[in-house]
Amino acid sequence: MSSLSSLLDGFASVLSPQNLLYAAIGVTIGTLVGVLPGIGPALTIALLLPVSLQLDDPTGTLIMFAGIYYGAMYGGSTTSILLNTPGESASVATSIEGYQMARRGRARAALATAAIGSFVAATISTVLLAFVAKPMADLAVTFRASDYFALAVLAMVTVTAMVGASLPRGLMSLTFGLFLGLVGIDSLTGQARFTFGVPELLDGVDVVTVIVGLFAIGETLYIASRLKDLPAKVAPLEPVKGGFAWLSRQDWARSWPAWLRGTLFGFPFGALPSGGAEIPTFLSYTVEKRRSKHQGEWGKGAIEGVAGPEAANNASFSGVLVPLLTLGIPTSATAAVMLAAFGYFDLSPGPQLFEKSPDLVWALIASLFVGNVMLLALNLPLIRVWVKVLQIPRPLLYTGILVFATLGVYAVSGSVVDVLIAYAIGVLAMFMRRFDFPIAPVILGLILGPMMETQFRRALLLSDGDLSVFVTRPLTVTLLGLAVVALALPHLPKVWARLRGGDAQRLSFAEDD
Amino acid sequence: MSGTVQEPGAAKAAPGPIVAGGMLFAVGALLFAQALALAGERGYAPSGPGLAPVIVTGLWVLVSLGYLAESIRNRAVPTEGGGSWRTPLLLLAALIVYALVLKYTVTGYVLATAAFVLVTARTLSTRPVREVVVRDLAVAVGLSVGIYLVFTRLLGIVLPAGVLPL
Amino acid sequence: MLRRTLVVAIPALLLATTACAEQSVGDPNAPAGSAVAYPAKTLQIMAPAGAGGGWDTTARTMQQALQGAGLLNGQSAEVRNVTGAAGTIGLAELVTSHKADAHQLMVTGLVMVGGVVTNKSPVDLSQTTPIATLTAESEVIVVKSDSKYQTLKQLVDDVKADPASVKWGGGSAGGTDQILVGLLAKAAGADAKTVAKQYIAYSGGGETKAGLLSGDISVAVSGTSEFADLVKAGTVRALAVSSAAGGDAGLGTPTPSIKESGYDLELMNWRGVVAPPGIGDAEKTAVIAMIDKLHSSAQWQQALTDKKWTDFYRTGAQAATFFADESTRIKAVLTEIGLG
Repeated sequence: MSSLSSLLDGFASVLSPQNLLYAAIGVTIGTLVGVLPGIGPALTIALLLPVSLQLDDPTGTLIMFAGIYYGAMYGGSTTSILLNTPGESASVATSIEGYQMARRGRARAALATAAIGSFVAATISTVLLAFVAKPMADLAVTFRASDYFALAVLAMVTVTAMVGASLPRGLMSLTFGLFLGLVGIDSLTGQARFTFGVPELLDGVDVVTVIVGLFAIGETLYIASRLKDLPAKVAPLEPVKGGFAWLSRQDWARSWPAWLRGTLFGFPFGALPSGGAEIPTFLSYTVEKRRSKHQGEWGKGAIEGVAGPEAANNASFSGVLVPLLTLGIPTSATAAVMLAAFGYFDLSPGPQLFEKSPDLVWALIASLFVGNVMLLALNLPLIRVWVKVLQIPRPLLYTGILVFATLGVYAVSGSVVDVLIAYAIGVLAMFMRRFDFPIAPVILGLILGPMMETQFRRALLLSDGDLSVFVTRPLTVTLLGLAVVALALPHLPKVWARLRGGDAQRLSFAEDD
Repeated sequence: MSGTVQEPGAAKAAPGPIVAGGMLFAVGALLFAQALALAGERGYAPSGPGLAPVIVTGLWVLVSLGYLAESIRNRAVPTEGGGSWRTPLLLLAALIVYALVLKYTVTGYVLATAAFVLVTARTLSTRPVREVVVRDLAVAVGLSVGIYLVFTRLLGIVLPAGVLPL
Repeated sequence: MLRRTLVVAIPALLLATTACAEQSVGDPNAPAGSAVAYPAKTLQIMAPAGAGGGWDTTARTMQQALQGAGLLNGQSAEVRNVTGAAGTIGLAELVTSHKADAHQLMVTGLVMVGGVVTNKSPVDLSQTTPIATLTAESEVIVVKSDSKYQTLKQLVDDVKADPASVKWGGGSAGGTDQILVGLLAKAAGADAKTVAKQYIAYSGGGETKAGLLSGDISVAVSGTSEFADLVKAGTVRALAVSSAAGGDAGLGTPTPSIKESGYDLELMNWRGVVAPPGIGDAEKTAVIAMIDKLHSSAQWQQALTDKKWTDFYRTGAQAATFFADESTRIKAVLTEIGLG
């Protein structure tokens, strides 16, 4: 069956009332958590896992989760533009020009270019996803253990290359994640490692527990340590006072090339291991700034600076789904939780997913179109509602986060030990925030580490211990070669900038939540 | 160990990055020792379970040294204000009591959660009790009863009912 | 002010509630002899694994069938998940915290028997009160359709000649699939330890399939349902099933069993129910009576059909013997292949 007809079947399935409802719930919750501080898509999906298992509808649940991912991006752009408080790192680039536009009374134009740009980018990139996914899955069927190992190395290298401002801190976070991944029974031999005599640790540390600890508990404890810096209430900001035009003819003319370029950055970077959305959004911002004919407006609200990064942000999600669905490799924290969600439904993403559950895959892809239409309808007219959400008193908001965090872990595991483990990780995460360690590498280390180790050892077991297995298969060699390139790549802008005598802006890897 | 060195400006409650680096190094060294013991027992074969722990914990030790070096180099740079450790400690205590009460007593989900919400909201709030107590009470009751009913009645997830006749 | 009050109030509340908790523990000296009205309060069914898995589905199906068939004496049933370590965390909780409470049942199975051994669990199934076995699934041994092996005998002959020549793959280390490989090697007289070393553990059916199809492993072992669609599509060939008699592995026609292929071995991935230790005879009889009625109820039989579960029902002494026999032979084979 061709991708197109599969996609049409997917649409037929998504347009059922039940799945439409799931998509609507997903994008609404997503926008909500995108707007709210302290709670992002990864945490939300982790907390919804126990609930979703009871629904016993994997397709609907995954449609809902994808909606949350997308919705959080829209919500994040709203707060970036109106309040200059990006709810997630991928919105940081948007906030630079977007907030300036809002300050100058062009909030509505900024919101419109963000929303429409997101829609355009998501549509194009979902088409790309639909056409890339199946061939990719067909290729992935031939992947052997050594190839998966090389892929994991590639992913790991790109993570380490982009760990942020400080290499030691970024690597420390990654190492902590790798260590967490080691805890428990070794899957290949049954040997217990780092379980410290606690039977609950034999199964390892669940990704839900880690995410709840890192994000919910850690963030709340950190906020609690700096309560004095925290305004009791968000500053009431009401920029959408009447008399705004939507996009003017000139705005359209300046926006659409930026949307298209942003999409072109977003999709491939999302698809790359450890791509995520931060790099393409900043790339798009930099490129738009360099190309702009309105240099004088930059820093004072240039519309391209909103249009490009927002498009890149949304396009990256379809990109993220390519390795997630076809190889089972997550490239962001949220993707890692979605991978866990697949696992809970006893589905393993990878080439077999397209064989075993094509309905689910194509319905999920089709739901991305539907979700974006919903978000467009949900965001622009309802902007005042979302601004209201920001006025939830902080003490109650964080209390609520703690209640749901505890509930999420307890309901999944039924074990108070797991809850206490989440608290312990939360305490660590508080210190990580205090000392400016990035959080996202912990999760990628937790997921990628065991993948890398297991595939490496499997490849060796299969070759009876012959290490040449890693240099004799062309695919393995190619992937390992790409890893070397990826190791050098982040330093290229610096080298380039130095050659041109300009200022270097290092690409950096920040929070994904 | 160098971890006990205090940076001059950080005589406040908060430990500085150097202390953090020292602790990371100490924990890393302990884990590395444990990894070595495991590898000693199961061997260093690349296909066995012993090698990866040695590599990861070894990396931990090295990176923590790198971080320590970075912290010492930057010690003149003032870190952001120390912040208070009292509130997070109170929160943590509330969380632990909450989890233990849920599991080991017959208090039940609704009562335990309502009490937890009240305590936590108060701990995090900077406004006088009188102004917010009604609001907090309403949220505490609404949230705990709401979650309990949705989870047990609609979703079939068991939460401890406890002493309340729900 | 409020904070200080709470600091005092919470420990007090704690004390009060733990006191209540102790009182509410089930009464071990329940009236003996005459039939007991059971259940007398809410029945708790523990699934010692996460939601969505086989034990969880079994527990929830039991709950629904018990309620649907009206077997609960006017009470209700709840399902609880306690995850971890192949069910041994749940097992430990059942044995230590719910002693003598006949209203706490737990789903169990072959995987837990293996988990007790590989995780070196301090408690095992013999410390519970056996109630019944309920369902079972047969295992299947498959190769890719272009493999040279047409029968199990050809495969086993190669393994006997050179145990290192065949790479096996299946679920996690020490699980049902590896147990079967170990038992088969033993039954065929091959070097079980070397054969088990050729076993590559995968984290799930999807991964195992990918490993078989990409050519990493030459033989895959899994539950029959996992490979049924690939067998049907002709992508893989089923060499044997592990039930006593041959069975359908996806083709619609019976695939020979391991026993029929000439190796004295039968292994079913069974699931059952146990109760905590220290339960009086009358209560035990009442629990078994309830499970008996559950088993013959239309709701349960329907669920067996819907979920393609094989009926594997034995109760009381029969179940107790079965649990004990399985524990002995699983422990022996796991120890032999170096996982004990």
